[in-house]
Amino acid sequence: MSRAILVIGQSHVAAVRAAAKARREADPDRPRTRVIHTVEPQYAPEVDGEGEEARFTPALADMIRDQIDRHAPLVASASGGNVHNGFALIRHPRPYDFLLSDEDGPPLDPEAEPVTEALVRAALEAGLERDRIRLREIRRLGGNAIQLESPPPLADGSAIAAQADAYFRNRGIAELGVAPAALRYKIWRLHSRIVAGYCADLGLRFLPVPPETQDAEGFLGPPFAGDATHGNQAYGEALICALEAL
Amino acid sequence: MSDHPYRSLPDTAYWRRAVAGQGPAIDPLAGGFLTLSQDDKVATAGSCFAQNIARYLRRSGFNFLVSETAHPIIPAEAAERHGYGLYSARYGNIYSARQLLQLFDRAYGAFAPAEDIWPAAGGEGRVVDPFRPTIEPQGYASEAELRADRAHHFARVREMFETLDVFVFTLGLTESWESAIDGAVFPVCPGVSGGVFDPARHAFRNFRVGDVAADLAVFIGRLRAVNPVARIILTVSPVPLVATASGHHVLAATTYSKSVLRAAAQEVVEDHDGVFYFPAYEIIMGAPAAARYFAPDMRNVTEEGVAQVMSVFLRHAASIDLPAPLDTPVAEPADAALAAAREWVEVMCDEALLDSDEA
Repeated sequence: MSRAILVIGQSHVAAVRAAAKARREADPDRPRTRVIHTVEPQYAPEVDGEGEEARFTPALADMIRDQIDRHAPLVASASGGNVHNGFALIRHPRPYDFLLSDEDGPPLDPEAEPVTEALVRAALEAGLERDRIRLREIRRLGGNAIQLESPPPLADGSAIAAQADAYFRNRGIAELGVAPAALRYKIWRLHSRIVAGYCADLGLRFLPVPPETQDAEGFLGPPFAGDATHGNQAYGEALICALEAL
Repeated sequence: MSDHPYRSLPDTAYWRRAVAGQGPAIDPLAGGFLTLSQDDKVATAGSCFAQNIARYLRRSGFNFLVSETAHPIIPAEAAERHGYGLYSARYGNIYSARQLLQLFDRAYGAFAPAEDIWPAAGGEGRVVDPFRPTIEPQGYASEAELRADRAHHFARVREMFETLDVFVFTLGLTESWESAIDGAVFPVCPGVSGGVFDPARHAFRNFRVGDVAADLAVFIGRLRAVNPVARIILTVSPVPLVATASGHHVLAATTYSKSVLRAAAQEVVEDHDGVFYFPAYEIIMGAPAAARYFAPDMRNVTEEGVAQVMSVFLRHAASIDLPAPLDTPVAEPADAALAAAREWVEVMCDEALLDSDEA
């Protein structure tokens, strides 16, 4: 595909930005991939208003429109994709677990309190309000955009503990520990299913994680990890390739 | 003038002194009641009216025991919809003494009903627990999920029985549907909220006084085996039947049902130490109230009625005087009355599904 790409999002755009920069340096004439990070200071506070009235700030909306007008890019969204980490990266002091419906997943942890998937979904959805607004705005401004699934969790808890950023360090990841890999995987799957449902409601296409970035169990392969929760440049490159292949 | 036993009776023994002219806010409790301290762990179970007792105990600063709490990740509104906090554990409404006894036996592994999983009403492979069919509003996603949740629930039920100081049980119904295979009693008729009604497998049962009293007696014995100091308060729900399968008029069937429960409660209290009867039924249904505590449908109890019940309860059990219920006129504006009833109806009452168009 010889078309520019615009990826709108927050922290997960870093991987795409790194890959795009490497591409640009290697081949300046190649169609560019550009990113808009919606929580950068010039767009603050990112969203005005609440609920159904919420809109991206004029500065952010203008930037998205300008990029589309100038480059006619394929619009993709790496928006959101952090709620599942905020939820289940750190081991909860009252350990819990749940079963995934409609797909194979790890069994229940017999030592953890079972919670129904419906209630875990309710908990996740309560944290996804901002991400819903972002998707709605990207649909409004970007048309038939493509939502990129957030990267899967890393299987290795010690790698997560070692690379966790300040957000998780300040919340006691060292003391409480990293949540079991099986729970993190299931929360990520459920999170993806919820977001895919939002996309279907909005008429956005949902693009799953590039399979080559996953290990045999579906976790993020270590060569594609940027830190405890994000993909790296190689992951970003895989995303761009997946978009180009559409 | 000769002496006789009635000469020395207290005023509460006389209708003219205790009831006539006393107004609707009657206090019909006499003859001793238990004393509740703020430290006593109070557990509740029973028909939907019992949810009000839990609500008031919590509101009044008592140690309302909840052994099965929602996990902290769950939003409060979702937890409430999924039956957390309505009672001490997440068993939903327990309408009959047999259901209570079987809950105890199931929790301790002494009874494993043959029919222990139902297809959900909405289909799509979801399932419900026949013994608390509305506890997961959309049903469980799978049998494995249901069984895991049930095992956790039973552990919390055992914890409740073993740690409570006072158990308040509100008797609600005599009419039940049971498994023809092993007598497992369901809180609602199969097919109403999940499951498939099969006349060959499901039988109607209208318990008699002897049945209810015997079930309660066995339950008390088993509870005391795991918690020798447990005290018990029995009440009878004043809420009429939403529907009857007895073949009688629903009013006559209600009278029978409540009479059986009231008589059984009396017998059990007389036969067991540490078991008390609290006259919630009399406060709401008695002639002095003249039906003022009922919503216009003559079934749902208004918040005013619940407040009167609980003010009497707390006065006798804990020497607490709640503010008197507002002396509102009997005929409230329709919307206000409905609002009061609606507040009460917010308690989970799956029996009402019997008269739902969707049932």
